[in-house]
Amino acid sequence: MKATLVLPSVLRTAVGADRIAVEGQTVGAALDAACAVYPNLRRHVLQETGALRPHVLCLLNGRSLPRTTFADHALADGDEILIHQAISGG
Amino acid sequence: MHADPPPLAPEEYRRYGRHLTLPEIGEDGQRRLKASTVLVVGAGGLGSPVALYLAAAGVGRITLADFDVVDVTNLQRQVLFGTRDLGREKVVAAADRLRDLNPHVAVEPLAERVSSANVRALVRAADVVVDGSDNFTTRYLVSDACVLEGRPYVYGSIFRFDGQASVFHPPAGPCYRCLFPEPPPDALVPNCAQAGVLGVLPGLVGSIQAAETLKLLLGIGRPLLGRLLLVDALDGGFREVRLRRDPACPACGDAPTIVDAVEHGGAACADGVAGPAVPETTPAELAALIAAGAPPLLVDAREAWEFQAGALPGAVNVPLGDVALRAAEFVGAGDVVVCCRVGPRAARAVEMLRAAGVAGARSLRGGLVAWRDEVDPSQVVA
Repeated sequence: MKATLVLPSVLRTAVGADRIAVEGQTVGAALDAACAVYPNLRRHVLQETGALRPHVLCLLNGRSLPRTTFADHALADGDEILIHQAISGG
Repeated sequence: MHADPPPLAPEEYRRYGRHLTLPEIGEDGQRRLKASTVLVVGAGGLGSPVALYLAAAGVGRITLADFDVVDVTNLQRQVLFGTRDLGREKVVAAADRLRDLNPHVAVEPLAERVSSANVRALVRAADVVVDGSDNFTTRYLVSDACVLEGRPYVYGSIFRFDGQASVFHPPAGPCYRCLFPEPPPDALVPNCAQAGVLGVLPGLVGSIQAAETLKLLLGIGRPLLGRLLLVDALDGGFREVRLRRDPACPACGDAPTIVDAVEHGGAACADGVAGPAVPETTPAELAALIAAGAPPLLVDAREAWEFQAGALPGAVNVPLGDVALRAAEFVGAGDVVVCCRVGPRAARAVEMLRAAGVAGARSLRGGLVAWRDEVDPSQVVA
């Protein structure tokens, strides 16, 4: 399935991209594919275990995915995976 | 909230006329606002529009907490202050501005750091708490205190072009820890103040926070409970994300493990917040080493624009956000002195360098400001 991974501005500089075309059957597979091209993405978004970092949110088509099962969600063509993270500026 | 709110003074009827006309507010609602107390944590980019709009709207008592002073770099976005306020305590300058805006409002300036020692009493005394702080330590502290004291927490945060806003008030909705269980590790912390922020962004997000606060106080409309509003100022877009309360949340879950509001010591963003204790070199000691012809390797942990404005001769610029990635370059380099503007970023950089094996890393005590004040008055410090 072809989907788009969208990063917030907080990650764009570190990762070097803002919208990444990804392919995969699941959110986890698509993220893995993106991380293979942008290694810094893995460091910022995933823990070594593959779990989502506690300060990161993963959304699929605007819906927040549960931390424990986010990687297993099936993708459809045209889906949008949105990553967000905690920011502290005030 | 308040059974018998105080009457409006004659002048207030004209002042709040546009509110009194709204059937959702009217005189009863305006009196409710007058009877209300709001705690605003942080008198910065977010705290500015929040405090201004709450005062203008006639919220009876506003407690404004911030221990910083007004700096010229604040004026690009912190609209509470003017050039005449430079060097003044923020809450004192803010109180003057807010009292001028609306003398019917009681403004309580609190020039203290919000900490474990005072946060629960401050939160308990307020009807609604608005977070305009600039660091994760305070955010988690205030959120936990709000959960424990049962107060609604009006959340807002900003970074570069991104903003977030929500209302947390368990059990009616999630809390901040349901959203982000833990703060990011230091190495992944966005370098907030130094990475830049679009000046108008806190105006956008802070105005949303002010609107949510007024709705909560008035009991009108649909609050941003269980909804996270994401603002992308570059894209010109707002997204809304549905949030759920996490039954496993350590603060508001079914078996909470957080039983008091305690600072976790996570990363801070502002220069005014103390960093970790690490080995230091004083400006005088550094000057002596340079004069003796044995200068250490100098690493400047500030952002590139600050470095370009003026840096120590021979210093290498490694912005704090890059330190973890580049630490290996400095293993075996001998004495390394890390500087920033006043110290906290350098302290965090030293901590990261030492963890990566740079055993000789130390921080320049007081940063380049101390260097300028104690050694070289000609040093330019952005």
